[in-house]
Amino acid sequence: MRRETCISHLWSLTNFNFARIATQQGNRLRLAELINLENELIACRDADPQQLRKRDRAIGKKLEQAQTSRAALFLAWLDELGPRQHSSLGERVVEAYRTMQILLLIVGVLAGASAASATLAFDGSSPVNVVHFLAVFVGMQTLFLLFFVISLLPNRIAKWIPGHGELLHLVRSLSYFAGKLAGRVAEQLPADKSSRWQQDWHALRLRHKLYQKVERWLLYGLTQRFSLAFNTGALVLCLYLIVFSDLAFAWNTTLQVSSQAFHEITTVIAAPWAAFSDQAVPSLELVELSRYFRIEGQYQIAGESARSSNPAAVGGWWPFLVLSLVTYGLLPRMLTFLLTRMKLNSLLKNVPLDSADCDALYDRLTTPIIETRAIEPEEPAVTAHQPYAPVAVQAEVQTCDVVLWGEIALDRSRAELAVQQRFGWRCQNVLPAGGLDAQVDDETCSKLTKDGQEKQPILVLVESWEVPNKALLHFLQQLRSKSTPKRALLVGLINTEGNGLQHPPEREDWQTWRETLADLQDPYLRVETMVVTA
Amino acid sequence: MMHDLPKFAVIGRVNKGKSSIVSTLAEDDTVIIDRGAGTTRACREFPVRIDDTVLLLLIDTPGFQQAPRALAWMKEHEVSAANRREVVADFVREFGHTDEFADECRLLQPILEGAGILYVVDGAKPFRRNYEAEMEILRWTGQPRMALINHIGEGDFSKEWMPALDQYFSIVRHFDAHRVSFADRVRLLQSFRELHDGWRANLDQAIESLQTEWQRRQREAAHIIARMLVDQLTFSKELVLARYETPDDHKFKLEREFHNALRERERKARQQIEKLYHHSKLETDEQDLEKPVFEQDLFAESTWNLLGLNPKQLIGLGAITGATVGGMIDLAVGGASFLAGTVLGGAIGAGSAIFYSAQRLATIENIMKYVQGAQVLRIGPHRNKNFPWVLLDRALLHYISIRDLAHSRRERLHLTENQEKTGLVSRLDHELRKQLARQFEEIRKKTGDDTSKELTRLSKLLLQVVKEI
Repeated sequence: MRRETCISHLWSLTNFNFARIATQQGNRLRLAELINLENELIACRDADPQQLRKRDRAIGKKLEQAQTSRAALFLAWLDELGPRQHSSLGERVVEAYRTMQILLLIVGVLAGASAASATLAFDGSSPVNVVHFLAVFVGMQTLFLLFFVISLLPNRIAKWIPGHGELLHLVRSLSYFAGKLAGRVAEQLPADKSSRWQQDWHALRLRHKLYQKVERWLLYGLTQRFSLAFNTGALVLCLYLIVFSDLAFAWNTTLQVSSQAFHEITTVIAAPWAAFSDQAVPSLELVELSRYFRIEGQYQIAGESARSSNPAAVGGWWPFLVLSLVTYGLLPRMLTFLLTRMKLNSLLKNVPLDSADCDALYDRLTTPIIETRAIEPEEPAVTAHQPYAPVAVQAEVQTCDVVLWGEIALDRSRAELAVQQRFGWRCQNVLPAGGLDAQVDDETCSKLTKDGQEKQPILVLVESWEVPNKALLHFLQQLRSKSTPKRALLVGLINTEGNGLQHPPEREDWQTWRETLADLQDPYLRVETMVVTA
Repeated sequence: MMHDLPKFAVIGRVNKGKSSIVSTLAEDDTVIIDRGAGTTRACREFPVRIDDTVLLLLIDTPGFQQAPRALAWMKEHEVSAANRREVVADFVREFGHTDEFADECRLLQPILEGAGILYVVDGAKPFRRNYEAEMEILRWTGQPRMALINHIGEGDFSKEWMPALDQYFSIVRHFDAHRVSFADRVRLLQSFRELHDGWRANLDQAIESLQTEWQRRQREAAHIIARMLVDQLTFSKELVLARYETPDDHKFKLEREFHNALRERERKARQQIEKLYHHSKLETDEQDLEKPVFEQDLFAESTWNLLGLNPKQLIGLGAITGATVGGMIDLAVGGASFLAGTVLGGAIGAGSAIFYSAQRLATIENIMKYVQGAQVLRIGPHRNKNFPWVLLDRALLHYISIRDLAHSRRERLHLTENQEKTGLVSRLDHELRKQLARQFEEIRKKTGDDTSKELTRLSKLLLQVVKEI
């Protein structure tokens, strides 16, 4: 049972298909979702914040009960945004990645097979030189493996390694030219595809670092997949040639390397499996027997006579070569491939969804929306008024009646003085109105209109900072209805303060009074200021 | 009969600031506020909704117009104190369909339906006895009552008002609708709790939600400002020249476009802040605004003289940054350099601060050749050391002006009354300023690269700043 679980786990690692691997919380993001999430977050930057908040909070409320983690919440948010977004950038990038994987797999197998075919080329005229094979499948592979390991090192350590900067520069240059090449390819595509490709590319370039680490390991995944395919192709072809053809191996190099030294090299190479298989470790005898020289245009084997008597010496190298390929090519690449898979899974599981944009999204999803504004729009205020064009008061007027409206802060003597100073009139009656007792208004109105004094104006003194309310308008209308239509009615504006000081009314107040009283359409009703600005 | 939903009718005489108070409390700058008589002609509801659940209802009402006459009618029909509420209801029934007491009937209707009373007076104007008529009518309704002393003008007659209001209202508070902070609003809501026990749960929830919302706005404001800063500090512009063109053909155009793009980025961030604080009207009035410091052009000389860090602070920060780098070298060589790295680094940092602080405007600094041989003019990112500080200062000044701007204010937006607040960054905590300086340097290194990590860090630092100011 445990073995089956291990196998199934290994299978899942080797067969990474970007499906969301179920976890206890079921909240792991797929690569496509991660890209879509970033893409959506970028789009949110330019959206109207209010609308965004409404949209996201509506989604957040739906998900309130079910979701626990940020990742789960964001996943559900993406789902709620609808299928259009899901079929966009993320899926397309993943699709492109898959295509790249398949292509690299094919190219890798073909490249590996080609390399093996080239290094094991044998037409009978000269033996297969194992030095070539070792250089390609042990030397080069070990070197590339070393590059890979260096690239995994943190920058602060890697920068001390000689040549690291140059290597990075080379990678950057290659990326630049790859980008240019991709641009040229895009130009050749039909217009709509080219445009979409460019948009996708732009969106990817705009991304923030949500999946930057993932991206790095995706790239590693591709390179390791290629290497794995390369070694598999090479191994398959090696085995094919060994089984189905008769290869004669030997070794040769221009360098002055003795058989003893070469044997030591092969012994070091074979060290990993020496304990398990003696046959796959070339003996000194085999090394000596299989050395050949090129003399006078002809190849000569060092131990030709001994080889003839011992055919095993001709093909005796193959177990060593196959195990070299497996040990220095296939197995490390399998390990690095599994490592990239595990790292990718781990990164996707633990994507740090704590960037400023993620925080803002989380806020929008989880913080309630508070609205305090009125739902219904307000009716527009009335701005049109009747024109203010009152008739002038007759010049021969000597006396007037005065109403102190709304408990204005003036006593009789000060009111008389103010009227005398402003109009030169003597006050005959000074009566209150607009106070707490409405009965007084009616009494004042009756007293002022009972004698039918048509030529004696009635001056209503008001505090200019109070607005003309309906009580005053009602009082003025009462006065008019009870007196003659042409009796002068004046409203005198006084800007009083608590201590009884008087100031000219503010311009806006004066305007308000004129507009409001003009609406009564009484040509013999005037508004006057009691204190004139100097 | 009391309703579960807390309702508050804002009542008062015509033109005493009822609509201003509602506008401020509801953060609604669409409320019509006018000096004209009786601008509000019908009741208007402002529901406080948390995720569409109404927790509280504010009702703006028309003002009292003829309270003494209305009270006279009621007194005529009064039998005893026990039937006063019924008399008020009869009054509304009697005159509800006539023009005679139309405003009184409209304002009394929500009260009779269970709304609490927020009675508004203008404390800048003296008390007159005829106000007692409307206070008495309100007392007759028997509803929970609170008085708010608003201040429309410069005078202060609160001492006259207080004894009178205390006679009729269980709670009396000062509330200046034009100069009210978020804390004042919360305090007012807390006072509402005292009016009626049955409303407390909803009011508590409303207060908590408002506080959460306020914090959310601070976070978002910090994020908006941080994003603007990152954009501005990493922005550059390039122009590929045709083979027959010379750099002088495009130099001025490119410089103008570059600086306009920076201005546009700042404007966009401001609009977002204004929307965040529900100031929609400011958008349309923007062209008419006077130009306080933060409204002057980003690259105006006066802006740079007033805002950002002063030369001493800039040089100090430059020296600290340089010395830190130099110090690391000293450390790496185990002190064998005898602190030469620290000293030299400090000197270089200070020198570069002086050198790069000289220019307010970025100039075209780079003419390079591509592999293909085409000439490219490049301008930016802006390298002046004070540039991020000026930007931040302007953003913070704008932010506090918007944050503290009452929604009832209809006049032109002025910079905060406290003139000392011009230049906020120079008074930030030294450690915070150092962290910001470091972050600005990090961002500047990231030209053309992904800056999300720096954005996140800067947002967190700015959140501290936004909370402090």
